[in-house]
Amino acid sequence: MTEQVDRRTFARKAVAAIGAAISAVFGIPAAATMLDPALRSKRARWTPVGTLSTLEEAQPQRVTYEVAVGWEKREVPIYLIRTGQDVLALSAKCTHAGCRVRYADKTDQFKCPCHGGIFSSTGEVVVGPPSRPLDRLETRVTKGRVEVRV
Amino acid sequence: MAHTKYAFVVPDRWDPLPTLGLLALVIAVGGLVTGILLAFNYAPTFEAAQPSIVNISSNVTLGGFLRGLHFWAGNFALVLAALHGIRVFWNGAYKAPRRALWVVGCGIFLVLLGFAYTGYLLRGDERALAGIVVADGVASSTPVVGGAASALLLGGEVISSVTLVRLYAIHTQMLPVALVGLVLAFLWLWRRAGPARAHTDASDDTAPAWPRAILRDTVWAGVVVTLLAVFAVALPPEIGPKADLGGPGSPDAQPEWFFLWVNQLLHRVDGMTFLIGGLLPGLLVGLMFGLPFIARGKERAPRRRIPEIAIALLVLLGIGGLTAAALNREHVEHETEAEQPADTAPEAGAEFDIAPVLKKFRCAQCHTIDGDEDGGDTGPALNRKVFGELYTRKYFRLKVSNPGEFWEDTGMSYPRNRLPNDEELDALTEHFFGK
Repeated sequence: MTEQVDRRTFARKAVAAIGAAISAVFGIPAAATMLDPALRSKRARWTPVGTLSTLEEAQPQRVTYEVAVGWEKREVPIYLIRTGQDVLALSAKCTHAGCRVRYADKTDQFKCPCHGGIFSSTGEVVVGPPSRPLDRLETRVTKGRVEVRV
Repeated sequence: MAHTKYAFVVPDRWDPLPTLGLLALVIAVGGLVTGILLAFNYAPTFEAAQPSIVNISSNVTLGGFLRGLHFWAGNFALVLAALHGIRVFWNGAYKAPRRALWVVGCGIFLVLLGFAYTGYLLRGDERALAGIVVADGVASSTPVVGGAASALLLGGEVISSVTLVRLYAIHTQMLPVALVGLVLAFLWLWRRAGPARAHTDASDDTAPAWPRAILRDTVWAGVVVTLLAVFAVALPPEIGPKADLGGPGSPDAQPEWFFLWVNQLLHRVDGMTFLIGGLLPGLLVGLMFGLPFIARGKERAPRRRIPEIAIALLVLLGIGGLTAAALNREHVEHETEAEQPADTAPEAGAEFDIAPVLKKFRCAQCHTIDGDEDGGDTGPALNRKVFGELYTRKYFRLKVSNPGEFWEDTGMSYPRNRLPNDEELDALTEHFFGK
């Protein structure tokens, strides 16, 4: 009698253990590759995006830096605004839903094509659904080269 | 008693209501088959997606028809499944012992929604890019896990072909497996429960499935598939310009029809991206799934379930109203410049008739023009007196050619993304201000 219970217990444990092992063999790599983009840690680096001398005073200038994704390299646009020797770098990503804002010369504003948000030339919200100003990137000028930390 | 495979009984009626679910299934199978065949000619990278679709539509033998069938199958299945669900809700047929059927059915509806959504993103054109951008914006706005959600959606820091491949894997691998699994579970549950009886005992005529019900279902399936083919030929799905990942983005950023309401809310309400784009749709989905566990009363007759029907009606009306508002709104290119300063008067002797201009831009839909009684009253009245008092000629021209800029708050817009050209502007200026 006790032997039978033991065999059943053994069988149950064995089935559970082997089943778990089989699930793990397939499940772990499946979950790992699927979650990979979220697990990847991002290290910020100083990246050159232009030269100070080519930036006009107070005139937002669109520049890009490169980001590697998978097998591709993608250009990410930002805007540089020079004030004397200082450079302000604004993300072109609308703070509402992430669409790409563009600079309109005529009104000296950034406009978002998706839901009508408008930002001032320093990135402050003028009108529309965005609830915070355009993100600012850390900048520095080294030997006349403008670098942003991304 | 005859013993046949089709011994179960079904409602004995010829209208399509009892067969809506089956029609959705037939169309969904059509979508699977056409999708497999489209995959032979489609490449999921931003460089190749749009050109490969253009190639399918223009070069591949019957490719345009195949793509039309696939696109409309997705939309038909979604609509038929929704109508079926609404009918089940109306009749209270989701209640115990059919709760599992309702839950699995909701799962099928979500999968169909997922197909339609990822499907239009796979086009890799400007509108698809805008759709991915907004989806990422909502994902990023999630509290705490926003960064991870965005990375999982995009497959990296920014939108790239990695993103498109992920969407492709979801659209062509995960969702089909989920659909087949859920449909099998659904059919098994349905076979066990049998068709729902009418909620009143009267008029509950039933007949054996074979031949009457199966003949009825086949006839209706034929009708719907014919309609599908007509749609595929007459209204081929669009394909926009190839997405420019480094470009300025598209001003024509409306999603497909089933998400217009979310986009309209995002447009109208300040901030709260996650609440509108994530939490609100999530809450509605939760309500849908949880319905049989929330509305537990045994009563099935609609007139004894007024509160739940009223709530559902409000939700549907809200979604419908927002969708209508979104359809009415047109994105107008913000940066379109007024070409000419208005100081130069139109050439002497040039006499313009503004009627065609007013008609083309549907001005009278919102404005009462020159006292015309047929005009709308959403916008201010337009006539010589008003303009003479309020505007200068130059300001008028600037406004009319730049509605996005000046009338952001009022929602003034033009139909179909078109702006008046110089000649039309001249005509309007001359009409309202004189030479």
